Formats: sequence, C-alpha cells, structure tokens
Amino acid sequence: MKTEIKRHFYMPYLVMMVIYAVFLVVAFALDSPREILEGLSRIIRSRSVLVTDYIEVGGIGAALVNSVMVGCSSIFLMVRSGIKPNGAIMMAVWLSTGFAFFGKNIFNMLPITFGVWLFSKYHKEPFMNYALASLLSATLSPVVSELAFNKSIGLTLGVLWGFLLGVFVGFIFPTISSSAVKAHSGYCLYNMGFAGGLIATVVMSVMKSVGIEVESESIWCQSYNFEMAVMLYAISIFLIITGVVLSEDRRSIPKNLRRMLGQSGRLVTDFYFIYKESVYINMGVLCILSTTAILVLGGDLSGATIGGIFTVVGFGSFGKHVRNVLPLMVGAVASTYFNRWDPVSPANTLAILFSTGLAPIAGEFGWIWGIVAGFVHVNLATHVGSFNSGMNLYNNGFAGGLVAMMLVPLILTFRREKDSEI
Amino acid sequence: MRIVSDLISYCYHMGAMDCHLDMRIRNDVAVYFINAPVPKMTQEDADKLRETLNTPRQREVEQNYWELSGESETDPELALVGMMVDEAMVDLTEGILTIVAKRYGK
Repeated sequence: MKTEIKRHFYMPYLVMMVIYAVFLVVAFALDSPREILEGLSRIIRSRSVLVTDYIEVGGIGAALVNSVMVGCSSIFLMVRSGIKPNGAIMMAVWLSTGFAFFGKNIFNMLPITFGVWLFSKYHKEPFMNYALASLLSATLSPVVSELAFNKSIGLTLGVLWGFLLGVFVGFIFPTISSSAVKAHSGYCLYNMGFAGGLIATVVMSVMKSVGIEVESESIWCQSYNFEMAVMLYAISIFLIITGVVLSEDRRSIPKNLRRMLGQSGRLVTDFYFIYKESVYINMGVLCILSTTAILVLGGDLSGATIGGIFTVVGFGSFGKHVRNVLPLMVGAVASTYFNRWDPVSPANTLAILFSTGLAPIAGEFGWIWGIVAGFVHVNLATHVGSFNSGMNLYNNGFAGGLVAMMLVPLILTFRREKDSEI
Repeated sequence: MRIVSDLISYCYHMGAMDCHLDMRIRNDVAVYFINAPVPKMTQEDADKLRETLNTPRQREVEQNYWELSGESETDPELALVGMMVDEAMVDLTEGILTIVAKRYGK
C-alpha cells in the first residue's frame, strides 16, 4: 500500500509556534537586532561541544532566536514530510528547541539531517519513516562544528570535513539507534543519546588517532535566572491552560491524569495518543517541577538547564510524569552530595534533570529502584562525557543507557526468583 | 515474527496455555490470526486491546523502536505492535480470544 503524504499544520505545532512567538518577543525586548545578529554569528561559529551555553556565547536574544530557528525548521521538516504529531514527535520538537540553547544550531544540524535523508533514499523508503531519527540525530551536532571550527584544520577544510562527517554520522545513525534500544530494553527514554554516545566515542577515538585534539567546554551562563524563571513558569501555565482549553472532554482530564500516573512510561508509551490534550497539563506540571527543583537547589537557569527542562517537558508526552521522575530526581540530588563537585555545578545540575530519562525504571519497578537509578546515573553522567570529549549532546542518554543496561537485568533477576516465568 | 511473539506473549499473560496461530503473507500484506482460551482476560481487557491494536500506523516510531517488539518480559501492553499493524479485529467470546491483525508493506 503506497503511503500518502498529507500535509497539515496540526495543533501541537501551533502550540509550539505560540511559544516561539513569546521567545521572539523576549529576545527583541532584551537585545537589539544588531546584538542578536552578532550573537547568532558567534553561536554558529562556536565549537558547540558540551557544555557550550549559547546564552553566554551569543547573548540571551541570539540564543532565543536560535532556538526559534531550530524549532521552526524542525516543525517545517515534520509538516513537509506529512508527519501527524504523536508523543514521540512532540518530544523530539521540544528536545530540538531545548538543545538549541546549548549545542544545536542551523549550521550543525543540516549535514546530519541530510545524512538521514540519504539513508532513507538508499533504503528506498519515505523520509517520513526516519523523521524522528532526523530530529534526534542532532545529538551529534558538535561533530560538525568541532571539525568546522577546529583551529588545527583551517576553516575551509574544516567546514568540508565537518559537513562530510556530519552526513556520514547521519547516514549511520538510524541503524545504530534502532539497534541500541535492545541494549536497555526501552528503560532509557534517551535512546538516541545512548546511540549518539556510542557513535561519538568511535568518532572521537578516530579523531584522536589522527592527531585532532578535542577538548570539552564549560561555558555556562549565570546571568538570567529571574528572566528565565519567569519565562519557564509562564510556559508551564500556558501548557496547563492549553491542556484544559483544548481538551474535548474536560471531565475526563482528572481520570486521564490518574491513568497516566499509573503507567510505567517504558518505551514506547505514547501519552499524546492515549490521553490526547491532557498531556499538556502533564507537561506543564513537569515544567513547574523541574524549574522549581533547580531554583530550590540553588542552581542556575542557564541555556543548558533550559535544554534539560525542555527535555523533561517534551517527554511529558512520551513517558514521563511526576510519579516516575520524582524518585530519579531524589536519587540524583542525593548523589550530588556524595561526589566531589558542588551539588549545583553544571555537570550535577544537568545530571539531576536528565536522570529522569530513566523514569521507566521507577515506573515499572517502584520508587526505591528509581532512587537507586538516579543515584547511579549522576556518577556515570559526570564521567562518560570524557569518552567523547562532549561531542554527544545527549550525554545523559549515553549514561542512562549504561545504567539501564546494568540495573534492569539485576532487577529482573530478583523478580524472576519470585515469579515463575516460561 | 516479532509481532507474533508479542501477541503470543500477551495471550500467555492472559492465562492461555493453548494458542492457535496462522500467518499468511500475500501481495505485500501479512495477516496474523490468533485464537486462544484466555481465562484471565476480561471484556475491558479486550476493549483496551482492540483500541491499542487499532492505533494508527506510526512508521517513524516503528522505525526507531521496532527492535523492542518481541521482547516483552514485564509489560503485556502491545503499544508497539499497535503502531506496527494497520488493521486489527479483536473478539472475546466465552473466554476465547480471537485476534486478526493485518500489516501492509511499504
């Protein structure tokens, strides 16, 4: 049966456009057009390896505009491909928007997307089958920027090599990512980060072997906590109101939310398909929870933190809810008091937020295992980035995949002793 | 084969000790027919299964996560199978579950 492409601008895309409109208003209120243009230029020319906070690199206005550009191009790609949004697509658009605050920009995402497109052509399949992979393959965006702007290579040759390597990793990404999911059996929501970590580690090893040195960054903005807090809480309220207003049967919202809280969130759990517009309420609540957690702990609402919060929010349509993320966050916060860094250092702050990628462990096996997973995750997340020198943006997905690979078989072993399975 | 594995696994979770399976592939359409006595299954379970298996085909999700199908050890839900089949008929009559699922090619 031939797949017919229907192009519509569906409501979830419109909701994102409202948020982008707010971003633009805030951007032009805080910075002049000239500052924004200069900032965008600095963002595009940055190495973009972890952690490169675009608010610090290009200014708040440029970072917001970059996020709008990346988000709009992602939505354009989805509409052009005829993708009807589901929980996974909504999550991917939120992730793209969030990571455009620290590592993803129009320049470094294009070669990788092109590589995924080439792969679809190679397999004689419609690009829409790989649309999700194309959005999330941007986890490897720093590979493009690092080569393009590595001073030891030179700009022209660097851009050429960056483009070619970007196309190559985009070409192999769908295969690696769909295979990687087996390793953690769907208990790590950030599967693309796990796959990206594997690819980036190999790429990094080759680059080091041929004498290209790459160092991770630690560019972190601390200047806009108040403005970002206001914006994030406004987005939370907007999402909750959107959920209430758009729901066709408002009386079913409490029931939907209760049923959602009862789900493990293990891949693949499409909250948007099951609970429709009620997911916006879940997403809004998760935004309040994660923003408040960072503020209460005394952390910074930097560009990277906003990326982390947007990731939590995005997965509110695809597996996360308060009940399965809280144990992870508790375990992660506890872990930060045992490691040698400041509990609210950039690495720890990000690990606390991104530990929630292991939410299905808490959802399936209970809060105690959730706390254990969160605790272990922080330890891995603060170390595995060095395997690839920050070239994998979804580094916490790499760490989370490793935690799930190790922890889930152990949990299941204890379970099997109780239940007799065939 | 993974779809079959998940459907059989579901029947097992619903208490099936005997399971009849037919599979036919013709003209780029795969049809799966499963028939099993399922003592633990309620009509509510059947309604939920019908809804799940009739989830619209989501090729972009399937492409990324199809490796997860066929390995359901703890979760008898068939969300992924639902995204991988185009049509499904579910019937529960006098404790006998009948599933007919169709999956079209490219």
